[in-house]
Amino acid sequence: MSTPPISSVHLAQTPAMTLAWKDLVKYSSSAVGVFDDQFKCLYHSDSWHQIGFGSQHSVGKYFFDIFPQAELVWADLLAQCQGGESMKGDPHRFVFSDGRILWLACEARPWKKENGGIAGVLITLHDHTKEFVARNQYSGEYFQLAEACKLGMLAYWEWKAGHGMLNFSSQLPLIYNLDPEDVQIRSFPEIVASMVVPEDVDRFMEVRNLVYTEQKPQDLLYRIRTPDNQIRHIRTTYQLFEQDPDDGALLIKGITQDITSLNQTQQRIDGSEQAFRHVMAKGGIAMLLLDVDLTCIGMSPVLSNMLGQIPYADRQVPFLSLMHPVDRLDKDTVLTELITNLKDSITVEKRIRHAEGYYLSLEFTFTVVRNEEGAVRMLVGHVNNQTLQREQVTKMAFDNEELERLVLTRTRALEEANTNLQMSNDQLERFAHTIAHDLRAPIRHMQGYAEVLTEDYAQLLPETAQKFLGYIQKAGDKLGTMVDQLLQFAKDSNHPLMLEWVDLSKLIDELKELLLTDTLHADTIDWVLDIKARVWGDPYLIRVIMQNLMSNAMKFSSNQTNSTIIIKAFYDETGTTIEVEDHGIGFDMQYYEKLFLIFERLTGQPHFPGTGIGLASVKKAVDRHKGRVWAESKIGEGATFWVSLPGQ
Amino acid sequence: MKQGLVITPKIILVDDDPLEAQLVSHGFEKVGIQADFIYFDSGKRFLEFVEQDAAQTKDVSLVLLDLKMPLMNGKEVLSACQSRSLPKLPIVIFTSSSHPVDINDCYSLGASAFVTKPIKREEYLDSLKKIADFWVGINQRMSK
Repeated sequence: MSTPPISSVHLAQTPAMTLAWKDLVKYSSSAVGVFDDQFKCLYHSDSWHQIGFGSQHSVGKYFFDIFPQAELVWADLLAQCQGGESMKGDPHRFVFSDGRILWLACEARPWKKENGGIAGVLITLHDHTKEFVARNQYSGEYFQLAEACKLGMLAYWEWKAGHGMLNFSSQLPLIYNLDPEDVQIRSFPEIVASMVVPEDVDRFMEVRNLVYTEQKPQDLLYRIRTPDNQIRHIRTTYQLFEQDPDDGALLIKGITQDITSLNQTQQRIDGSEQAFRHVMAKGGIAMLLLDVDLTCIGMSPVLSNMLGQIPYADRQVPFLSLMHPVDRLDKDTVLTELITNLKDSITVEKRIRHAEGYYLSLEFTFTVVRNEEGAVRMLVGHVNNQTLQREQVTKMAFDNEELERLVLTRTRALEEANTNLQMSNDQLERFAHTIAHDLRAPIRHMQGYAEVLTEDYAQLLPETAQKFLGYIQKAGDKLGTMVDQLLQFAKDSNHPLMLEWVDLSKLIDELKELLLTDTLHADTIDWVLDIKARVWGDPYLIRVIMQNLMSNAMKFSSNQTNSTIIIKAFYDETGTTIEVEDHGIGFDMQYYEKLFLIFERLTGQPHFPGTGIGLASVKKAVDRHKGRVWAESKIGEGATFWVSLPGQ
Repeated sequence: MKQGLVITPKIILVDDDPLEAQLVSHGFEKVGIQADFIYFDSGKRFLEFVEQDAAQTKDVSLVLLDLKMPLMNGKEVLSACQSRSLPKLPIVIFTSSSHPVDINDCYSLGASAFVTKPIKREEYLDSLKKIADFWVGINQRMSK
């Protein structure tokens, strides 16, 4: 047997590590037991049972209670280990109550807590029996079985053909309820044969003949009727076959055991187990049986069906392997508590894998089944399927969660959009101010120095130079205006829309006053107003629209024969339409597409100054109201602009 | 010194653009302000001057400080004056900016006044005159 691959014996602190570590122990091929610092067994490998502790479950018991024979041999070794040293002992011969003899070596290592303190001891029992049997080292010692016989039910004996019993332990007559003298006589085998109950006689004789003829180890089970009329169950083990070195006669050494009480218990168990299995199989209840190491040792067909599995009764899967990985983690606190005697029954909910891969939420109520000595023998669990309820709860939680998440996502998107908008507004404003500073400064220098020239040095310049100086000043003025309008356009584009009812008549009156001072020949304009509407819009942007349309109309009407400007406004449920008609120079409809584009001008005449920003501003403002702007014109006859804005 | 006992006021111009500075000084002359103009083309040079010799700064009537300058802008100059506890000078921000944030920042950093450069020539000259009348005048009154 190999040493388990545990390089560092350290109690893993995280549940996952603990789980992995426990699995490492559980499936170790060596018999490994994990004990606490008081040598109380916490858990052990599956192979632990092979040593001979199988009939009594070890978890929760002290090492020397599980393995009393070891106390004499290993007490010192383990005490040293308890002090923190890793210890390894030589193989030692042990006799077990069922007669088996094993040569075991003990390897003990302390396992430590996070803080370095001793948490307990990890005991590995290495089975060296095969080596020792091979070397035949133990044959001569086999019958010094005094200790084993102290156990009461067991007797050893040594029988020589033609001589009868050479040697036997004092228990042997007691087992048969005979006098020791009866055992000593040559006809003892016949006496025994005569005691065998009729039903077992044939088998008894058959096996015994086999023993003499084949001279191979045999177990013989039979019932006898004792002189005081009791039925006893006896097991005789014929173990060793030798030849007497003196006369070559057959020597047989063996053990005889009274297994009556064992058998009766077994029968009782068999009976109740039969009943139990009947309930399991036919009861229509989802049930589960777990061994102390949480191996699933039985499952009712109802549960098998629920899980889409064939019954596990004879397949023995680890219960944990059926569980959702996340749900395995609290195994320690819940089921171990149950097993280590702290509780008698417990209800846990676990997600269990269906054969098709999805998980069912099952509620297990586990009850502890104990043996006569009170040790936990197995866990019986009955199962309620909670999947539907859980799914509903989960779905509701999911729906809510999804809704909340959606709201959150949208809110964030909105906030982000707001922030971006705020940023683009801020950036634009910064940009506008940068332009204002960077472009205006050189323009102002141009104008300033031209001014200085005109003021201080005009008399020194020839007339032509003075004229050119004038051109520089005009260009400077125009550049200044363009920069200012461009800034205005950028600001208008980002002006936050605040909709309200705008009094159009009032606005137009105001603008008429304003434009009168700004526009050449404004006083020659004839105004015809037919305003039957108010406008649902942003007051500032409506102002931008009207101011540009009106100043354009005025500009292109000045110096014309007909300088009448007609403004009409009407509205219905769909919104407001404004019409601005002039009789000025008009524009060529061929270039209509360029009319509302920024920096585009449809007239090249120098006495109609412009920057090509005005109508672009109008278009922008109308677009922001989700409205429409369009125009019609004939060169020399005037132009009409329409703006249509949606209602409230 | 052009007029007997009257000390010619000192006006410091801080602007990265010499054209601008010259326009300002010409403007001052245009509106009849007689002054010695000291020009620094960066905030750093101006601070060096002030730090080097506090005595030189004694008879400075006015500092015209531009806001937007490379490396060290006007606000940084103001805050340096505050944090290095330099002698208190009447610093007037003379800039094309009219942004409320700039105005706020400058006053809270200890500027004596914030003046946006007017675009129109006449207004521009007028603002220069008002600045000079107030700050130069106040200094002359105080020195007496």
